[in-house]
Amino acid sequence: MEMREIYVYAAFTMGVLGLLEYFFNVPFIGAIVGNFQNWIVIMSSVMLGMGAYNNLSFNISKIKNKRRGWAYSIVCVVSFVLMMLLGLYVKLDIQRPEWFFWYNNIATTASSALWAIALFYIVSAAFRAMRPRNLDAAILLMSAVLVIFNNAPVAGAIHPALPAIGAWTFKLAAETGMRALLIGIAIGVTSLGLRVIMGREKRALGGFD
Amino acid sequence: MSWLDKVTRDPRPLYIITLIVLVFPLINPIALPIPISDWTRGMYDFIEDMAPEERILLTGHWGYRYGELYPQFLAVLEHCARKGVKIVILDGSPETPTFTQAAFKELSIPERLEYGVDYIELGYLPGGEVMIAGLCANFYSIVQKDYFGNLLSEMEITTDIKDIRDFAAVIVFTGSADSQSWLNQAYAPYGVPVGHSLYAAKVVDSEAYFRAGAIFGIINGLRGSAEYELLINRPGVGASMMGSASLVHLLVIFALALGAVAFLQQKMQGRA
Repeated sequence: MEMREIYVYAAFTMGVLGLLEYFFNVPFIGAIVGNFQNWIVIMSSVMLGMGAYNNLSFNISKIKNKRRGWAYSIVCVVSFVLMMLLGLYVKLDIQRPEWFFWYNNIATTASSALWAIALFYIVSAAFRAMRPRNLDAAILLMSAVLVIFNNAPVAGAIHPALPAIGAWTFKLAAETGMRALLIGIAIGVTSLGLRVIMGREKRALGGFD
Repeated sequence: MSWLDKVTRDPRPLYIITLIVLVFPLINPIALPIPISDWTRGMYDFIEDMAPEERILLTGHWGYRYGELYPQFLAVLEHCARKGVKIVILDGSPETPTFTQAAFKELSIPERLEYGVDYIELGYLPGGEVMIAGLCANFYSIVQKDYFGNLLSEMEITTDIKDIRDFAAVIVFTGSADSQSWLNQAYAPYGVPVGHSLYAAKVVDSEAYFRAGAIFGIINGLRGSAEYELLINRPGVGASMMGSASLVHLLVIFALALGAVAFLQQKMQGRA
């Protein structure tokens, strides 16, 4: 038996057991699937460690070979080691000021700042890129404005009808589109799952076809 | 070259205006009426109707969406603490315990509630939706100890938990796909009510589930946390940021309108 066949049979067995456990209350199957679930949790924990190792080794190799952006890798490695040592030092007591100071003043602040910068680009893009070049673009822009009315309290202060118009647009257009999208995704995921179980989808099993 | 063309080429004046519009209301707060949406009302009413002995699972996956999700978490945690419901917290990502601990500190939870009896923190469990499926089917098969290493079987709040049906509800604080995972694994097979507390751009995904009655409430970004803070009469970050958020929304509309004018001007001059 070739390796790929073993993968296909394993995917089939796990998939069928998973489906049976989800739809039928059979304690024996539930126990087997419960074990699989435990393995996945354990494997995910191991993968977290592997991710950390991978990140470190990738950046160290980048620094060694002085590849493009190697200075940023120094920041990455130093931050990684510093936070790891700090984590080991404070253990689980993350309310300790040593941990909280670094986390709150660097990690949280940097990620919030990075996210906040997007606002400037949104305002810039609203003026420079989102222009009514044709009817479709004009309708899209109008919808965007109406949905903003749905979310901004100031719209109600300008005119009481604006939030209602925004809500109507959101519920009629956005929600209808999203329902269609969600149903499409669900059908797609179901068919992909069935293809994996039936051994028709082999890309998930290592790229060979 | 008109000033509109100049701003199109170099948007720095727009950046300065954005900064002013963002910061001004923080220095001079603007009082705006904040109507309560059906989404937030649904979340509030559900917790308000809970009996003190009932158990609720709060789970958050925050990361860089901390700015919107943390005020929501504070408001809901405060409401649960006031109601005296049993709070079980599952950290949805490795960095979440830091925020959970910060929330405990900010709301003085350890002084008001007893750990292990009124509330507990399970910590972060990897495994995504598979972990959630396992937790829903057999709680103790996935987690045996809390974040601090205490045995859950010895804690009053968790000792009798068998599966997700031992919780009155699950509230997910997230901006990613795990809101759907809890619907798939807790609501669909077991009928356990699920509420979504979301980063604003994610709300459109959940609205369809809310209208269908699959989720009992949605907290919609910073606006939702402002509404919730007003409902529990504890104005916080959400309410204080509403002035900035409103003016920035207006600025985006103004920028869109100005862009349209610039485009029409270029078109009339045959340059577009």
